[in-house]
Order: sequence, then structure tokens, then C-alpha cells
Amino acid sequence: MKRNTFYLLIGVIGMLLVGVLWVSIQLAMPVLIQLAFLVAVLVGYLLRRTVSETIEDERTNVITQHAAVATLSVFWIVFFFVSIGSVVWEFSRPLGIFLPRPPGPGPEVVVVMEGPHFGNLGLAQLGLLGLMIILYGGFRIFYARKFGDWESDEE
Amino acid sequence: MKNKIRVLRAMREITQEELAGALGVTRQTIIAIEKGKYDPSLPLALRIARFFQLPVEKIFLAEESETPAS
Repeated sequence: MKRNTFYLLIGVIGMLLVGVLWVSIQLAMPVLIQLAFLVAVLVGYLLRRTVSETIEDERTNVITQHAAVATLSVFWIVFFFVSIGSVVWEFSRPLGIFLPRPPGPGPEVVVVMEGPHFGNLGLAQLGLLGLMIILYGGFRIFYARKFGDWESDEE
Repeated sequence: MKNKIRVLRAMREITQEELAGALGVTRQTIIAIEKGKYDPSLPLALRIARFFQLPVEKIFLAEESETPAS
């Protein structure tokens, strides 16, 4: 398979995944998109192995390494920034820990335990993941440019 | 680092695509090396030298700023 065909198929798979995500939300079946995602990754990996042209070599690996390190260097700061804010938010309300108190009259404490908001957590994670992808893309373009990815030639 | 790959290629009438195929790298990598945008690793430099049947130092030339002070 040619390199461009591979990239085209990856794009088609990406669009299919968006469709499956929509169906998954409509049916309230998270397992649908989760399985579809795993299958898509597997298919992408298998398709990549069928590409006959060289699409990866030591220069592209150097670009990937530099981009990954730069992404991580920025991302951990953002991740820590968001996490530390969330920790403060979480600890500044009742935690549901009750210390024994002496018997007798006292104010009645009613604590309503809230359930975990997995949906909000997922959205926050997706946001951070999106940021990571954007950062990686940006750094990859930067280093690809630095190591001559878009150098034109007369041949 | 400067190199003479473009000249050696021209002398042997080899295209960048053919050289890339023989070395197992992308054509873009050959372009980047020829233009001095990317310095190849030692194994790749040795493969290039073997391909042109020349010593590495005849192909790659360190620039003044890269040579250690004596």
C-alpha cells in the first residue's frame, strides 16, 4: 500500500469513529465507542505494516523524540496546574470523614454524599488529551521544520 | 556538518530516491542531509560511506565551530 493511501484510510477511520461516538452517546453505550476505538487502533497498526514505502527512519524518530520530550515538558505543568486546582476544590468541601464525638445533644450534621462525576472527569481528561495532541502537533511541526522535513529540491 | 553527498550522487548519476531506497531511509532524509539540516547517525554515515565506497571523512566534513579546540 502507498503512504498516501494509508493516511487516507486513517482519515476515514477517524471519521467513522466520530460516527460511532455519536451512536454510542445516543444509545448510552460507552462500550461501543471503547471497543470501536480499540479496533481502530488495531486496524491502523495492521494497515501501517502494509505500507511498502519507508515512512519512518532515524530522522523521523529524532523528530518524534524531540516533539515528545517538548510536549511532556509543557504538559506536566498544565496537568499539575489543573490537578492541584482540582485537589483544592475537592478538599475544600466535606470529605465524608466523621470523627467520633461525645454523646449528648449537638447539632445534627447531615452530609449528602455526592456520587462521582465520571462524565465530568472524562471531559476534563479529553480536554487535556486534546491539549496534549495540539502541543505534540505543534512541536512536531517545529522540529520537522528544523530537521528539514519541508525542504524542497530540484529533483 | 558539511558533506559531499550531492556531488557524489551526481558523479554516479544516482537520484535521491534511489539513494534513499538503498540506505533504507526516506528521500526527505537524504534532502535534509544534503542541505545540512540533519546530521546522520554514525551507523547511517557508515552506510553512506560504504555505499559510495569512500571513507567517512571523505564524505562528511566538520565545520570550524564543530572541531574541538587544540
